[in-house]
Amino acid sequence: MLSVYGITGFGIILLGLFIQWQVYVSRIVFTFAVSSVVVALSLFYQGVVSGSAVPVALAALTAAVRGVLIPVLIVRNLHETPWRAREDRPVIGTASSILIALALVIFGLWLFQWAIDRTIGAAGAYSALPFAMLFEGVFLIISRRNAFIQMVGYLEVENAVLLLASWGFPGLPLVIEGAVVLDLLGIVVVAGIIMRMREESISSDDRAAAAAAAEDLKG
Amino acid sequence: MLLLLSLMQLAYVALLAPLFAGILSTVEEKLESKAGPSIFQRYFDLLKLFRKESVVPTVASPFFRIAPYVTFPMYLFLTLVLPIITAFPLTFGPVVDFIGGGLIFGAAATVKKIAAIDSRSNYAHLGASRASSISALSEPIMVLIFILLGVLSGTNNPYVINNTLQTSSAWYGSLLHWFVVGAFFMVLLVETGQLPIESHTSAEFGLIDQGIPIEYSGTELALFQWGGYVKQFLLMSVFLNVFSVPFWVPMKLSFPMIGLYLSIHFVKMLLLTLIFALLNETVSKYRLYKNFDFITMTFAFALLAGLAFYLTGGGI
Amino acid sequence: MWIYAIPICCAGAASLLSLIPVVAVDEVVSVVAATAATVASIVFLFLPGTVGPILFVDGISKLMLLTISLVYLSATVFSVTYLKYVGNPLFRKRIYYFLLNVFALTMVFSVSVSNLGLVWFGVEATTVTSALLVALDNNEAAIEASWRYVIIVSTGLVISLVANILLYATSGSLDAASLGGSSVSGHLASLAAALAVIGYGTKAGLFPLYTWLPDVHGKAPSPVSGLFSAVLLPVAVFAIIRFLGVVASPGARLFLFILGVLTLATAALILTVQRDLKRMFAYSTIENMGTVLLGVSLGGAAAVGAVVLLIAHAFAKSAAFYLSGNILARYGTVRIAEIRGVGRTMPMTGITLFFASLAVTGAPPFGAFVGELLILSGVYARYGLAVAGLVGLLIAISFMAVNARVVSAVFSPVRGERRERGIVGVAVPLASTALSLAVVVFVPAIGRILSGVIGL
Repeated sequence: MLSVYGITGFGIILLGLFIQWQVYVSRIVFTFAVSSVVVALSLFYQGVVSGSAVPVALAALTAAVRGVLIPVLIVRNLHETPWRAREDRPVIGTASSILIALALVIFGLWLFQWAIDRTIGAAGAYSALPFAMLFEGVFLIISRRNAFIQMVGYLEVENAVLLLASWGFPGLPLVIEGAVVLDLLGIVVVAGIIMRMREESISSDDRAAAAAAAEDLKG
Repeated sequence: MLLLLSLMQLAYVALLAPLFAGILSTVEEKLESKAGPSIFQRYFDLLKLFRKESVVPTVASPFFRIAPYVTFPMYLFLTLVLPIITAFPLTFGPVVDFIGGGLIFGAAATVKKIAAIDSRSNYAHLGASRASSISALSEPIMVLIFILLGVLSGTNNPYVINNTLQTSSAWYGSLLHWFVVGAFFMVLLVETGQLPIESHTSAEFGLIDQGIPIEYSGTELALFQWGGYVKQFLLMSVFLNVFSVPFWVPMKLSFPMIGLYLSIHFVKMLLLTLIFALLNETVSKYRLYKNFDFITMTFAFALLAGLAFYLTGGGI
Repeated sequence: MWIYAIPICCAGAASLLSLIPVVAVDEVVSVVAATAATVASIVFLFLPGTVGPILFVDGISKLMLLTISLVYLSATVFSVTYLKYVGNPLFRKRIYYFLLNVFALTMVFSVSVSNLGLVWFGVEATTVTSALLVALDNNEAAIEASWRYVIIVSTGLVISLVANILLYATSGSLDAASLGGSSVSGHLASLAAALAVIGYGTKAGLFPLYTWLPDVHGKAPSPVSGLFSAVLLPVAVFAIIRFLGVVASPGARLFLFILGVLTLATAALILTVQRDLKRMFAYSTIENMGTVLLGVSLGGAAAVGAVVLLIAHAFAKSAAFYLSGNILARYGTVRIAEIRGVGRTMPMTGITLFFASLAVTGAPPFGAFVGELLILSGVYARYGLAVAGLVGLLIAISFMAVNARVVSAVFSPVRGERRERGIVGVAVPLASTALSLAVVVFVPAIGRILSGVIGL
């Protein structure tokens, strides 16, 4: 029968593929925001069904930070720097990216099912879906060069870990969940600063020097 | 009795197919705040074309002339074997299953493309090669979809699939089923040439299926177009009757029920046509090479359907 | 037990004190704290280890503490001279020392805590604290390198967080000290170990996700490059050792071995086409880490060899990066083709660079040679002649690639005025290289200290 875990789990996998399909950064950020909301909803559902507060708190955090705050910040930043609205050169073609992401999803599902030999957690077999989504996020980071898209990939991985911990292994000690949050905060602060600096250095330097420096990095 | 119903189905499809094509273009025009043609315009076009004389390229072989007379009966034959107004097989129902139906569709498309190549027109060649490269990818996905439906019902028979989905709400609500619906809808857009894939102009940039009959005229062109309308009607019916809304299709032989269902089917088709019109007016056309990304996404849908089935250990 | 918190406290106090806005306080405080940490780490070698709920210090932790403290000391001392050459720094000098001290704090924290979750937290914290240090030079390339570093390494570390989650799901605990005896096993534990290898391996420069490493080492200021290469990467290796010590999984060890060989192969091949001095040393670091992880995957004598190589490489590689800093300050470039006749213009720097480069590539008198020999014999014993021959060949390729370039840069004849750096800029790398030589004397002692360490 239909279960909320199945729908939301496959929903986020599908949204991950949609992100691979998009070209415009703002679309990607929007799709990611939707997927964060889906993650938050499923966490909320889990919290209500199991009567525990931890998933509900995680849901609130996910919806607020990754569903609204960060997407809004990125989109606002995009309006200030319109030349970043579109990635100029994806590393691999879109169709191949989708296929590779699909293959990774299958690999992730297989790997998790191989490792887990009993029914676990709240979501049962669907716990493998966040694990597969982890690979999707990592691949997004590898397959794109745009800083915002890489950031989205990182946050997607973060979502996947939250969901995996909450679905598959409820009752983990708070040290890990606290660490996830701290990690998120730290990364957002540092990443924000660095993005800011990149932007300033691009607008202040002449573009030719920037291009030469980027060429230099390639070795 | 079954033969009578078969003939009824044939007449229903063949006569109404141009109407839905007409409604689609009228609604699209209305959405653009234009007056739009009459919804019967396609009938007038067909009548006019049947009266006109045919012109054939001097370089073309006789095959060029024959092709429309081969493909049109193929489509008519398909109307006899698919569940359109009944959910029980009619006289010719047991002849082919979904895979066989897909093969006939493919055969008709192949004949059309060969005829297009035979016409030696650059535009026809362009359309044929584009259509081939797209269908080379989309048709295997179609087969994958049929196989997944086979998982669901144990057969590839459209009638059995319809009955399974009508009677089992578990299968109807399963992820497998809905991913398949998503995938088939996307294939439907590709096969019927709706907008993200193809625009309905003969501009060279977006020319795909429109390019194939470019050298035809007169009766041959009329048959070609009429066949196209029938094909579109059939695919939409299959999407509605087998995949997405399998309900109310009569499973027992009873004329009042079938009569009632005819009107329900008409409404369903009308709604789907409206959805197509909205889609055509809101999305913009992909560049040609972006079509393959779309098809990859279709494949993703179909594959995820399989994964959903596998993940729950073969259950629903 | 709490005596082992001294290095953490030293670095913590120094980081706060270095924020005092008085001239030269930051430098003095940092050097004093690093010295104190070093002295404490030397004393630790003669104390019994501790197994506690929070701190867990065994043989390998002690050696890591000593290495970190020594490189921390040399980096702070060298920073005093190097910072003068940074034209347009991203932040003030005292912020630099603050970040440097916090960076050191997170590293000593990671190697002395017991809970694997806290180890993970420490390694993650090193990323946050060191990201800004990389961008000190404040140009597009440095900031881009810093971005790649943050995004790739954080992703890798999220993977190792998943490893921790899975380990907890299998064993119900993350305490390395208490888990070490029982050795968790099973499919899930193997998966956890493999993910830990990939995750921490990202930070250690292991094969698939090493791409950030050359950029960061090439663009970071020299003392920071030195710290990264010499101790930050070994801290990640330490985390892998801890994880493999807890999980009994031959599959994960084989996986690590394969990744190690691939790392070695990639680094050796790329080393043959390098044109940039600092990037070349960065690839040499990747090559060394690959070799170290081969030793770790094998265990036994090879693992002792891995630790010896880790320590010897730490001193020599930090020296090599400091010297690259000297050359960058003098020549204004690190392109090997434009660096000519270092032996004439900067005799001490040139000669030290020659020896440091011999040391990092494992030339005979240095500690790295012994380490590589132990690892190679371990590979031969386990996987036979063909694999050992391949590994040896790859090491030999990188040996030749690095040394040929360094020799051409140092000994090429050129007519130029002699302009050596000040005494500090020369003495620190020289001392580090000497330490790398001295490691060879202590190999038996290292073997003794490491006896009984879980996971080796």
